[in-house]
Amino acid sequence: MKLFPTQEVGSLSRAPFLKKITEKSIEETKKWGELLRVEELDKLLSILNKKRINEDDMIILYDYASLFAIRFFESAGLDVIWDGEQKRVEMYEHPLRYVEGFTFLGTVKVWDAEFYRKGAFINSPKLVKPYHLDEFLYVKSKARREIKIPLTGPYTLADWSFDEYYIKKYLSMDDILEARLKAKEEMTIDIAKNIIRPNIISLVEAGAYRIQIDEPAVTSKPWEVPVMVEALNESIKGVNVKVTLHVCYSDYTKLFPHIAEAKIHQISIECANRDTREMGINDEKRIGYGIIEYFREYTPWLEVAPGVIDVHTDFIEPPELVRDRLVYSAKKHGDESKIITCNDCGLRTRSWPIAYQKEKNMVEGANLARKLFS
Amino acid sequence: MSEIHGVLVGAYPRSEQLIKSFREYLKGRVEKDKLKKRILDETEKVVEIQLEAGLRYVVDGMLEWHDLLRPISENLHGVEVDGLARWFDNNTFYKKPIIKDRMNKKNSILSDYIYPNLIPEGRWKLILPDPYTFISLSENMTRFKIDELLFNYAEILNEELLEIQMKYKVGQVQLTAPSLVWRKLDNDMLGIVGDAIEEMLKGIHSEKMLHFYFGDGLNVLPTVLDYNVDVVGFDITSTNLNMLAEYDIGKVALGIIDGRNSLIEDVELIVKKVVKYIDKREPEVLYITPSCDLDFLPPDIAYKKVKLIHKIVERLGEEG
Repeated sequence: MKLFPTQEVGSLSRAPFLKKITEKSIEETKKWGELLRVEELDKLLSILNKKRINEDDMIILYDYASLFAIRFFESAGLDVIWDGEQKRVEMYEHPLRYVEGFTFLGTVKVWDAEFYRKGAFINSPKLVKPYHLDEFLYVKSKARREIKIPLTGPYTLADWSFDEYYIKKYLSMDDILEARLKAKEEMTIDIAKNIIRPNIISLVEAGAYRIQIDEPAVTSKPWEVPVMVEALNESIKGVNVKVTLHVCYSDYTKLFPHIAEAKIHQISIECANRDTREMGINDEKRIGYGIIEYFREYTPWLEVAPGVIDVHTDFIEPPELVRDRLVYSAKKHGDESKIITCNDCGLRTRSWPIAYQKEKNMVEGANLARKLFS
Repeated sequence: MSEIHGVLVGAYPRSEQLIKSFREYLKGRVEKDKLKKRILDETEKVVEIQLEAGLRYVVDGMLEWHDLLRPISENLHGVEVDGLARWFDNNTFYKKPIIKDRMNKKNSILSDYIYPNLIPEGRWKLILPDPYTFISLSENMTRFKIDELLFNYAEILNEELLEIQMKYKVGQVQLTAPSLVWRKLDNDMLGIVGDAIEEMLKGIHSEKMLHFYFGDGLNVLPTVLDYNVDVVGFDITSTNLNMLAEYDIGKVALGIIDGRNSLIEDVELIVKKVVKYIDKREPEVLYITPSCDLDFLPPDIAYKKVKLIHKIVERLGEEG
């Protein structure tokens, strides 16, 4: 069994040719295409050199973007990969475009001038069509490594949406807190049953073995962690698939003890962002990884994928730092076979050169850690 | 018989056009003057909406405030603004003030952020974070203890408020205090906070309101009733109204319109709940308000919520 296997979390910034097509971006495309040994690069370049790119060309460009990202992660040496979500708008709007009983209402603030398009559940949701299937089939046809498909979880879809349907049933209750919790639970479970589970089933029937459920919203309301766990279990009920739960930038202590009830195999969390950049395997140097003790205490059976790469900085983690983070995590957990190597989160905010070097160092760092345990 | 009015308790959402203007400005593609003109135009509309709805006091929409703390944190010596932090349990973030030294006022803190001249005299409502909310959401990198910082903040903001009072006739000053109800604080801390609030509002002649949102208002009762404020407001999406009615509050604001959900509430259901409260308590003045700022909603929905407040106040008037 390979210790400290390496895996991706999800996103990667857009391939150079999905941005504005200029001489510079074509040159960049050529450079990356050659480095990553992308097949039929000439065909892509001829499209990019056309005077006018039509809709059919765009479909091909998106396929190429997916292919570039696949080869990007393979070339960096990762064991488990995805296509960097090259074909998705973002994690909230993309899935909800395929849901009946939901309507987009307008933009709302996230911070400063950053806004997102938010909508409301106006009825019990129904899936129009599995929204990750085509994406998965393409990746499956091209990938040379094992693949893991990230999906936005039911709790996050519920929490980031308005509720114009479920809450109505409970508004006459005196205890408004109880009313809101009941409505939220019902909405989240319906999303799990009607949206997420059919998606997962379609992926598994198409040959998927690993899925990742992203729940970044979960610890914003710690009292609703049991709702997230219930919905997670509902999403994967009766499906034979290896499940990773990804939660980031959160107070992970809030997941306990309820997370022990989740029928998952692995949890992926962000740690590098809260760690020091100094080498070493003591508590002072590895302040970002203390949470692993909780997993040893409450869920020793779970694989833990602590982020060893900070995706919010251009700092390139040296392989030795990655090694120390993994060794410390293994030490804290007590079972090195449960520690997986990955990033804090998706790499969407980093440029390709930075992201590539980070991933290569992550792989190299895992190799160094592995040698210490062999 | 209770006097009943409607009023808002926070920021109004930016329109799509204004969002675009802010983005363009931040990218350096639009001049500040052009952005300011857009803000001014939209502020006029926000004021108009509230006047049409007959709200007793009128906010200027706070369209330029990126978050509740920012105009203050960016205009104090001794404070820097750092990374993003979650705004309570919302999918919304604020930039965290880092207190590095004793805080001092630079120049005017708010002059670039307020538009009182667009509002009829005496009806302008000014909103600020209470001392505990500002300090508890900041990172303290000084040697000062929390109570020293609370009073440091209170004194600076009191000076600012007195300067504003010299220039404008402010109808109501609201201190927004989510941190006071987010977790239950001990009575000693609540006592210190009460003193800091008194310091902040010293010499202010406007109606003084304290509004709690995102948490259970029962967490601060009854202690908060001894605070030197005129009106106490609660988020009724987080506070049990029947239990709130156990307390005698002379001037109360009921945040019974959900500022974080797009569902437009049923007028009769709200009226029934409020009438039940009035039957039990009969406050001297009762304000119908959103639970929190309306900028968690798209502008169209926010507009409907303001109209809803108007309808509810009207219906309550008919109920007598």
